[in-house]
Amino acid sequence: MSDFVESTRKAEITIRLSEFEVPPMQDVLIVGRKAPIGPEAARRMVDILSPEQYEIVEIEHPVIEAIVIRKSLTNMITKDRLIPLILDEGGKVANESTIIKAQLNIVLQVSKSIDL
Amino acid sequence: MISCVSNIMIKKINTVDAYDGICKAERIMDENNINCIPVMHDGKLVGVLTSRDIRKTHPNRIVADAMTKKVISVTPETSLWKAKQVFEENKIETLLVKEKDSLVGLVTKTCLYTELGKYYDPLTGLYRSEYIYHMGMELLEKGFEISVIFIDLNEFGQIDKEFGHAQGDLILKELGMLLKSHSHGDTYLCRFGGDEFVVLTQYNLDKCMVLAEILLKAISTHKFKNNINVTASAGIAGGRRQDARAQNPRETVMDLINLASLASTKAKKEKTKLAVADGFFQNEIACGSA
Repeated sequence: MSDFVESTRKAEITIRLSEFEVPPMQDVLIVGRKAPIGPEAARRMVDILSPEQYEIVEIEHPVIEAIVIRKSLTNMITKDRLIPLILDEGGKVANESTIIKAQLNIVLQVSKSIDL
Repeated sequence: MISCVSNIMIKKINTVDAYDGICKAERIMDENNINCIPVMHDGKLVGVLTSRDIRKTHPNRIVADAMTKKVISVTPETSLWKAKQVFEENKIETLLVKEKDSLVGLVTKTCLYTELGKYYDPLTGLYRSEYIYHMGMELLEKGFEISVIFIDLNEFGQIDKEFGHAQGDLILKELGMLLKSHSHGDTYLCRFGGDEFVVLTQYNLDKCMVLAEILLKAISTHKFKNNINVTASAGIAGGRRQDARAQNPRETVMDLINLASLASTKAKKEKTKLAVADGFFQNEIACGSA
Protein backbone atom coordinates (compact mmCIF):
# COMPACT_ATOMS: atom_id res chain seq x y z
CA MET A 1 0.00 0.00 0.00
CA SER A 2 1.25 3.49 -0.91
CA ASP A 3 2.69 5.80 1.78
CA PHE A 4 1.23 8.86 -0.04
CA VAL A 5 -2.16 10.05 1.00
CA GLU A 6 -2.64 12.12 -2.11
CA SER A 7 -0.80 12.08 -5.43
CA THR A 8 -1.32 13.90 -8.74
CA ARG A 9 0.37 13.61 -12.14
CA LYS A 10 0.63 16.62 -14.38
CA ALA A 11 2.22 17.43 -17.69
CA GLU A 12 3.38 20.89 -18.56
CA ILE A 13 3.41 21.85 -22.20
CA THR A 14 5.44 24.72 -23.53
CA ILE A 15 5.09 25.87 -27.09
CA ARG A 16 7.65 28.07 -28.77
CA LEU A 17 6.77 29.39 -32.16
CA SER A 18 9.23 30.95 -34.50
CA GLU A 19 9.61 31.32 -38.22
CA PHE A 20 11.31 28.47 -40.05
CA GLU A 21 14.54 29.63 -41.57
CA VAL A 22 14.79 28.85 -45.24
CA PRO A 23 17.20 27.30 -45.61
CA PRO A 24 17.75 26.13 -42.03
CA MET A 25 21.41 26.96 -42.42
CA GLN A 26 22.78 30.41 -42.93
CA ASP A 27 25.78 31.29 -45.00
CA VAL A 28 28.27 28.58 -44.21
CA LEU A 29 28.28 25.06 -42.77
CA ILE A 30 31.56 23.66 -41.52
CA VAL A 31 31.26 19.86 -41.66
CA GLY A 32 33.47 17.74 -39.41
CA ARG A 33 34.97 14.49 -40.72
CA LYS A 34 32.80 12.36 -38.45
CA ALA A 35 29.78 14.64 -38.32
CA PRO A 36 26.36 12.94 -38.41
CA ILE A 37 25.58 14.70 -41.69
CA GLY A 38 28.17 14.65 -44.41
CA PRO A 39 28.70 17.30 -47.09
CA GLU A 40 26.70 15.44 -49.73
CA ALA A 41 23.71 15.11 -47.43
CA ALA A 42 23.98 18.79 -46.52
CA ARG A 43 24.16 19.76 -50.18
CA ARG A 44 21.15 17.58 -50.95
CA MET A 45 19.23 19.18 -48.09
CA VAL A 46 19.94 22.76 -49.15
CA ASP A 47 19.52 21.95 -52.81
CA ILE A 48 15.97 20.84 -52.18
CA LEU A 49 15.18 23.88 -50.06
CA SER A 50 17.25 26.45 -51.92
CA PRO A 51 18.22 25.03 -55.31
CA GLU A 52 21.64 25.96 -56.70
CA GLN A 53 22.41 28.46 -53.98
CA TYR A 54 25.11 26.52 -52.13
CA GLU A 55 28.22 24.66 -53.12
CA ILE A 56 30.44 22.15 -51.36
CA VAL A 57 34.12 22.84 -51.03
CA GLU A 58 36.06 19.76 -49.94
CA ILE A 59 38.86 20.64 -47.56
CA GLU A 60 42.25 19.13 -46.73
CA HIS A 61 42.07 19.55 -42.98
CA PRO A 62 42.57 17.17 -40.04
CA VAL A 63 39.05 17.59 -38.63
CA ILE A 64 37.02 19.47 -41.23
CA GLU A 65 35.80 17.50 -44.22
CA ALA A 66 34.05 20.19 -46.21
CA ILE A 67 32.55 23.63 -46.20
CA VAL A 68 29.11 24.21 -47.65
CA ILE A 69 28.97 27.85 -48.63
CA ARG A 70 26.43 30.18 -50.15
CA LYS A 71 27.40 30.84 -53.76
CA SER A 72 26.58 34.54 -53.54
CA LEU A 73 29.46 34.93 -51.07
CA THR A 74 31.99 33.34 -53.35
CA ASN A 75 30.76 35.58 -56.13
CA MET A 76 31.83 38.56 -54.04
CA ILE A 77 35.12 37.17 -52.79
CA THR A 78 36.90 34.22 -54.36
CA LYS A 79 36.94 30.86 -52.61
CA ASP A 80 40.74 30.95 -52.40
CA ARG A 81 40.52 34.04 -50.20
CA LEU A 82 37.38 33.18 -48.29
CA ILE A 83 37.93 29.53 -47.35
CA PRO A 84 41.25 30.04 -45.49
CA LEU A 85 39.56 32.79 -43.52
CA ILE A 86 36.65 30.53 -42.55
CA LEU A 87 39.01 27.68 -41.72
CA ASP A 88 41.16 29.93 -39.63
CA GLU A 89 38.30 30.90 -37.36
CA GLY A 90 36.10 27.81 -37.78
CA GLY A 91 39.01 25.45 -37.16
CA LYS A 92 39.30 26.83 -33.64
CA VAL A 93 35.80 25.77 -32.66
CA ALA A 94 35.05 22.83 -34.95
CA ASN A 95 35.92 19.25 -34.18
CA GLU A 96 35.53 15.98 -36.07
CA SER A 97 31.97 15.31 -35.00
CA THR A 98 30.47 18.79 -35.22
CA ILE A 99 28.66 20.74 -37.85
CA ILE A 100 29.15 24.44 -37.31
CA LYS A 101 26.72 26.95 -38.74
CA ALA A 102 28.33 30.26 -39.55
CA GLN A 103 26.97 33.62 -40.52
CA LEU A 104 29.18 35.63 -42.76
CA ASN A 105 28.52 39.19 -43.82
CA ILE A 106 30.55 40.77 -46.53
CA VAL A 107 30.42 44.51 -46.88
CA LEU A 108 32.35 45.90 -49.77
CA GLN A 109 33.61 49.37 -49.20
CA VAL A 110 34.39 51.25 -52.34
CA SER A 111 35.69 54.72 -52.42
CA LYS A 112 36.60 56.42 -55.62
CA SER A 113 37.73 59.88 -56.42
CA ILE A 114 37.62 61.73 -59.66
CA ASP A 115 39.43 64.76 -60.94
CA LEU A 116 37.32 67.88 -61.00
CA MET B 1 44.82 -21.07 -71.35
CA ILE B 2 45.47 -18.15 -69.05
CA SER B 3 42.64 -17.65 -66.68
CA CYS B 4 41.09 -14.22 -66.63
CA VAL B 5 38.98 -12.27 -64.20
CA SER B 6 35.69 -13.28 -65.84
CA ASN B 7 36.33 -16.89 -64.79
CA ILE B 8 36.40 -16.11 -61.10
CA MET B 9 34.33 -12.96 -60.65
CA ILE B 10 31.16 -12.93 -58.60
CA LYS B 11 28.34 -12.02 -60.95
CA LYS B 12 25.51 -11.67 -58.47
CA ILE B 13 26.33 -8.36 -56.86
CA ASN B 14 24.62 -6.52 -54.04
CA THR B 15 24.64 -2.76 -54.45
CA VAL B 16 23.42 0.27 -52.51
CA ASP B 17 22.28 3.66 -53.67
CA ALA B 18 24.42 6.71 -52.95
CA TYR B 19 21.57 8.17 -50.92
CA ASP B 20 20.94 5.06 -48.83
CA GLY B 21 21.89 5.27 -45.19
CA ILE B 22 25.05 3.75 -43.80
CA CYS B 23 22.99 1.49 -41.53
CA LYS B 24 21.23 -0.06 -44.51
CA ALA B 25 24.51 -0.63 -46.32
CA GLU B 26 26.03 -2.13 -43.19
CA ARG B 27 23.07 -4.48 -42.81
CA ILE B 28 23.35 -5.69 -46.41
CA MET B 29 27.07 -6.23 -45.99
CA ASP B 30 26.56 -8.17 -42.76
CA GLU B 31 23.77 -10.31 -44.22
CA ASN B 32 25.87 -11.20 -47.25
CA ASN B 33 29.14 -11.47 -45.37
CA ILE B 34 30.91 -9.00 -47.64
CA ASN B 35 33.27 -6.17 -46.80
CA CYS B 36 32.76 -4.04 -49.87
CA ILE B 37 29.67 -2.99 -51.75
CA PRO B 38 29.41 -1.03 -55.01
CA VAL B 39 27.48 2.24 -54.81
CA MET B 40 25.14 3.11 -57.67
CA HIS B 41 23.19 6.24 -58.49
CA ASP B 42 20.94 6.77 -61.48
CA GLY B 43 22.10 3.43 -62.83
CA LYS B 44 25.75 4.44 -62.74
CA LEU B 45 28.55 3.19 -60.55
CA VAL B 46 29.61 6.16 -58.42
CA GLY B 47 31.77 4.61 -55.73
CA VAL B 48 32.41 1.73 -53.38
CA LEU B 49 31.68 1.43 -49.71
CA THR B 50 34.03 -0.71 -47.65
CA SER B 51 33.91 -1.87 -44.05
CA ARG B 52 36.80 0.49 -43.45
CA ASP B 53 34.78 3.44 -44.79
CA ILE B 54 31.95 2.51 -42.42
CA ARG B 55 34.28 2.32 -39.43
CA LYS B 56 35.57 5.80 -40.21
CA THR B 57 32.21 7.49 -40.56
CA HIS B 58 29.15 8.46 -38.51
CA PRO B 59 26.32 5.89 -38.73
CA ASN B 60 23.78 8.62 -39.47
CA ARG B 61 25.40 9.52 -42.76
CA ILE B 62 24.28 8.66 -46.23
CA VAL B 63 26.45 6.33 -48.30
CA ALA B 64 27.56 9.18 -50.60
CA ASP B 65 29.23 10.84 -47.62
CA ALA B 66 31.15 7.77 -46.58
CA MET B 67 32.01 5.91 -49.77
CA THR B 68 35.32 5.82 -51.60
CA LYS B 69 34.72 7.81 -54.73
CA LYS B 70 37.72 6.54 -56.65
CA VAL B 71 36.53 3.33 -58.24
CA ILE B 72 39.23 0.88 -59.23
CA SER B 73 38.05 -1.57 -61.83
CA VAL B 74 39.26 -3.96 -64.51
CA THR B 75 37.65 -5.52 -67.54
CA PRO B 76 36.46 -9.16 -67.55
CA GLU B 77 39.34 -10.06 -69.90
CA THR B 78 42.02 -8.90 -67.44
CA SER B 79 44.39 -11.70 -66.53
CA LEU B 80 44.63 -12.90 -62.95
CA TRP B 81 48.24 -11.69 -62.76
CA LYS B 82 47.28 -8.22 -63.84
CA ALA B 83 44.42 -8.24 -61.33
CA LYS B 84 46.89 -9.22 -58.61
CA GLN B 85 49.06 -6.29 -59.60
CA VAL B 86 46.07 -3.94 -59.37
CA PHE B 87 45.22 -5.30 -55.91
CA GLU B 88 48.78 -4.77 -54.70
CA GLU B 89 49.28 -1.34 -56.22
CA ASN B 90 46.04 0.02 -54.79
CA LYS B 91 46.03 -1.93 -51.52
CA ILE B 92 42.40 -2.91 -51.96
CA GLU B 93 40.41 -5.97 -50.90
CA THR B 94 37.81 -6.03 -53.66
CA LEU B 95 38.14 -5.25 -57.34
CA LEU B 96 35.17 -4.24 -59.47
CA VAL B 97 34.77 -5.63 -62.97
CA LYS B 98 33.31 -3.27 -65.57
CA GLU B 99 32.42 -3.83 -69.17
CA LYS B 100 31.47 -0.85 -71.32
CA ASP B 101 30.78 1.30 -68.25
CA SER B 102 28.50 -1.33 -66.73
CA LEU B 103 29.31 -3.15 -63.53
CA VAL B 104 29.37 -6.86 -64.37
CA GLY B 105 31.06 -8.43 -61.37
CA LEU B 106 33.55 -8.20 -58.58
CA VAL B 107 36.57 -10.16 -57.44
CA THR B 108 37.70 -10.46 -53.87
CA LYS B 109 41.36 -10.64 -52.96
CA THR B 110 40.83 -13.98 -51.21
CA CYS B 111 39.16 -15.45 -54.28
CA LEU B 112 41.92 -14.21 -56.59
CA TYR B 113 44.74 -15.48 -54.39
CA THR B 114 43.05 -18.87 -54.03
CA GLU B 115 42.86 -19.11 -57.81
CA LEU B 116 46.43 -17.94 -58.23
CA GLY B 117 47.49 -20.64 -55.79
CA LYS B 118 46.78 -23.12 -58.57
CA TYR B 119 49.63 -21.55 -60.53
CA TYR B 120 52.01 -21.80 -57.62
CA ASP B 121 54.36 -24.68 -57.00
CA PRO B 122 54.16 -25.52 -53.29
CA LEU B 123 57.46 -27.43 -53.27
CA THR B 124 59.73 -24.66 -54.53
CA GLY B 125 57.58 -21.66 -53.72
CA LEU B 126 57.89 -20.56 -57.35
CA TYR B 127 55.19 -19.96 -59.89
CA ARG B 128 54.37 -22.53 -62.53
CA SER B 129 54.86 -22.20 -66.28
CA GLU B 130 51.60 -20.31 -66.87
CA TYR B 131 53.13 -17.35 -65.06
CA ILE B 132 56.00 -17.15 -67.54
CA TYR B 133 53.61 -17.38 -70.48
CA HIS B 134 51.61 -14.51 -69.10
CA MET B 135 54.59 -12.30 -68.27
CA GLY B 136 56.23 -13.05 -71.62
CA MET B 137 53.06 -12.13 -73.48
CA GLU B 138 52.71 -8.95 -71.48
CA LEU B 139 56.28 -7.88 -72.22
CA LEU B 140 55.88 -8.64 -75.92
CA GLU B 141 52.64 -6.72 -76.07
CA LYS B 142 54.43 -3.74 -74.53
CA GLY B 143 57.05 -4.02 -77.26
CA PHE B 144 59.90 -5.29 -75.07
CA GLU B 145 62.54 -7.66 -76.30
CA ILE B 146 62.49 -10.90 -74.34
CA SER B 147 64.82 -13.81 -73.81
CA VAL B 148 64.40 -17.11 -72.03
CA ILE B 149 66.83 -19.19 -69.99
CA PHE B 150 65.82 -22.83 -69.67
CA ILE B 151 67.65 -24.56 -66.82
CA ASP B 152 67.66 -28.33 -66.63
CA LEU B 153 69.40 -30.28 -63.87
CA ASN B 154 71.95 -32.86 -64.97
CA GLU B 155 71.33 -36.46 -63.99
CA PHE B 156 68.54 -35.54 -61.61
CA GLY B 157 66.92 -38.94 -62.15
CA GLN B 158 70.14 -40.50 -60.92
CA ILE B 159 70.04 -38.34 -57.76
CA ASP B 160 66.48 -39.57 -57.12
CA LYS B 161 67.57 -43.17 -57.57
CA GLU B 162 70.70 -42.85 -55.49
CA PHE B 163 69.45 -40.67 -52.62
CA GLY B 164 65.69 -41.12 -52.81
CA HIS B 165 62.87 -38.95 -54.06
CA ALA B 166 62.49 -37.12 -50.75
CA GLN B 167 66.10 -35.93 -51.02
CA GLY B 168 65.41 -35.03 -54.63
CA ASP B 169 62.51 -32.86 -53.51
CA LEU B 170 64.71 -31.12 -50.96
CA ILE B 171 67.22 -30.33 -53.68
CA LEU B 172 64.50 -28.87 -55.90
CA LYS B 173 63.30 -26.76 -52.99
CA GLU B 174 66.83 -25.52 -52.27
CA LEU B 175 67.39 -24.89 -55.95
CA GLY B 176 64.21 -22.82 -56.15
CA MET B 177 65.45 -20.58 -53.35
CA LEU B 178 68.92 -20.39 -54.89
CA LEU B 179 67.62 -19.33 -58.30
CA LYS B 180 65.28 -16.83 -56.72
CA SER B 181 68.09 -15.23 -54.75
CA HIS B 182 70.37 -14.98 -57.80
CA SER B 183 67.76 -13.83 -60.30
CA HIS B 184 67.50 -10.12 -60.88
CA GLY B 185 64.47 -8.10 -59.81
CA ASP B 186 63.46 -7.45 -63.40
CA THR B 187 63.36 -11.12 -64.38
CA TYR B 188 60.64 -13.74 -63.94
CA LEU B 189 61.27 -17.22 -62.64
CA CYS B 190 59.19 -20.38 -62.61
CA ARG B 191 59.48 -24.10 -62.06
CA PHE B 192 58.60 -25.29 -65.53
CA GLY B 193 58.46 -28.99 -64.89
CA GLY B 194 60.09 -31.65 -62.69
CA ASP B 195 63.71 -30.48 -62.55
CA GLU B 196 63.38 -27.71 -65.10
CA PHE B 197 63.27 -24.02 -64.37
CA VAL B 198 62.70 -21.06 -66.69
CA VAL B 199 63.89 -17.50 -66.28
CA LEU B 200 62.26 -14.89 -68.49
CA THR B 201 64.16 -11.67 -69.04
CA GLN B 202 63.94 -8.44 -71.00
CA TYR B 203 67.65 -8.71 -71.73
CA ASN B 204 69.48 -8.95 -75.02
CA LEU B 205 71.37 -12.14 -75.72
CA ASP B 206 74.68 -11.02 -74.21
CA LYS B 207 73.14 -9.86 -70.93
CA CYS B 208 71.00 -12.96 -70.80
CA MET B 209 74.09 -15.15 -71.20
CA VAL B 210 75.77 -13.33 -68.31
CA LEU B 211 72.77 -14.05 -66.09
CA ALA B 212 72.65 -17.69 -67.20
CA GLU B 213 76.31 -18.11 -66.32
CA ILE B 214 75.72 -16.54 -62.90
CA LEU B 215 72.86 -18.96 -62.24
CA LEU B 216 74.79 -22.02 -63.43
CA LYS B 217 77.76 -21.02 -61.31
CA ALA B 218 75.51 -20.48 -58.30
CA ILE B 219 74.14 -24.02 -58.73
CA SER B 220 77.49 -25.71 -59.24
CA THR B 221 79.16 -23.94 -56.30
CA HIS B 222 76.25 -24.26 -53.87
CA LYS B 223 76.58 -26.87 -51.15
CA PHE B 224 73.34 -28.81 -51.30
CA LYS B 225 72.08 -30.87 -48.40
CA ASN B 226 74.06 -34.06 -47.75
CA ASN B 227 76.74 -32.66 -50.07
CA ILE B 228 74.94 -33.97 -53.10
CA ASN B 229 76.65 -32.72 -56.19
CA VAL B 230 74.18 -30.84 -58.39
CA THR B 231 74.93 -29.32 -61.78
CA ALA B 232 72.71 -27.95 -64.49
CA SER B 233 72.67 -27.15 -68.17
CA ALA B 234 70.99 -24.15 -69.65
CA GLY B 235 69.68 -23.12 -73.00
CA ILE B 236 68.96 -19.58 -74.11
CA ALA B 237 66.58 -18.32 -76.76
CA GLY B 238 65.62 -14.84 -77.82
CA GLY B 239 67.27 -11.53 -77.04
CA ARG B 240 68.16 -10.84 -80.66
CA ARG B 241 65.17 -8.99 -81.94
CA GLN B 242 65.49 -7.25 -85.25
CA ASP B 243 62.01 -6.83 -86.62
CA ALA B 244 58.48 -6.80 -85.34
CA ARG B 245 56.63 -10.05 -85.81
CA ALA B 246 53.12 -10.97 -86.73
CA GLN B 247 52.95 -14.15 -84.64
CA ASN B 248 50.73 -13.95 -81.59
CA PRO B 249 52.57 -13.34 -78.30
CA ARG B 250 51.62 -16.64 -76.69
CA GLU B 251 53.00 -18.62 -79.61
CA THR B 252 56.16 -16.53 -79.50
CA VAL B 253 56.72 -17.28 -75.83
CA MET B 254 55.97 -20.95 -76.44
CA ASP B 255 58.48 -21.06 -79.30
CA LEU B 256 61.16 -19.36 -77.26
CA ILE B 257 60.72 -21.73 -74.33
CA ASN B 258 60.80 -24.66 -76.71
CA LEU B 259 63.96 -23.45 -78.42
CA ALA B 260 65.61 -22.76 -75.07
CA SER B 261 64.72 -26.25 -73.84
CA LEU B 262 66.19 -27.82 -76.98
CA ALA B 263 69.32 -25.71 -76.48
CA SER B 264 69.63 -26.93 -72.89
CA THR B 265 69.39 -30.54 -74.13
CA LYS B 266 72.12 -29.75 -76.63
CA ALA B 267 74.27 -28.22 -73.88
CA LYS B 268 73.73 -31.31 -71.75
CA LYS B 269 74.69 -33.66 -74.56
CA GLU B 270 77.73 -31.67 -75.55
CA LYS B 271 78.66 -30.98 -71.91
CA THR B 272 79.01 -27.27 -72.60
CA LYS B 273 76.74 -26.15 -69.71
CA LEU B 274 75.24 -23.36 -71.79
CA ALA B 275 73.95 -23.28 -75.35
CA VAL B 276 72.20 -20.62 -77.37
CA ALA B 277 69.32 -21.72 -79.56
CA ASP B 278 69.75 -21.37 -83.28
CA GLY B 279 66.64 -20.88 -85.30
CA PHE B 280 64.56 -18.53 -87.23
CA PHE B 281 62.67 -17.26 -84.23
CA GLN B 282 65.51 -15.37 -82.67
CA ASN B 283 65.39 -12.73 -85.34
CA GLU B 284 61.81 -11.88 -84.77
CA ILE B 285 60.69 -12.16 -81.22
CA ALA B 286 58.84 -8.93 -80.78
CA CYS B 287 55.36 -8.18 -81.73
CA GLY B 288 53.40 -5.02 -82.22
CA SER B 289 54.94 -1.83 -83.45
CA ALA B 290 58.34 -2.01 -81.77
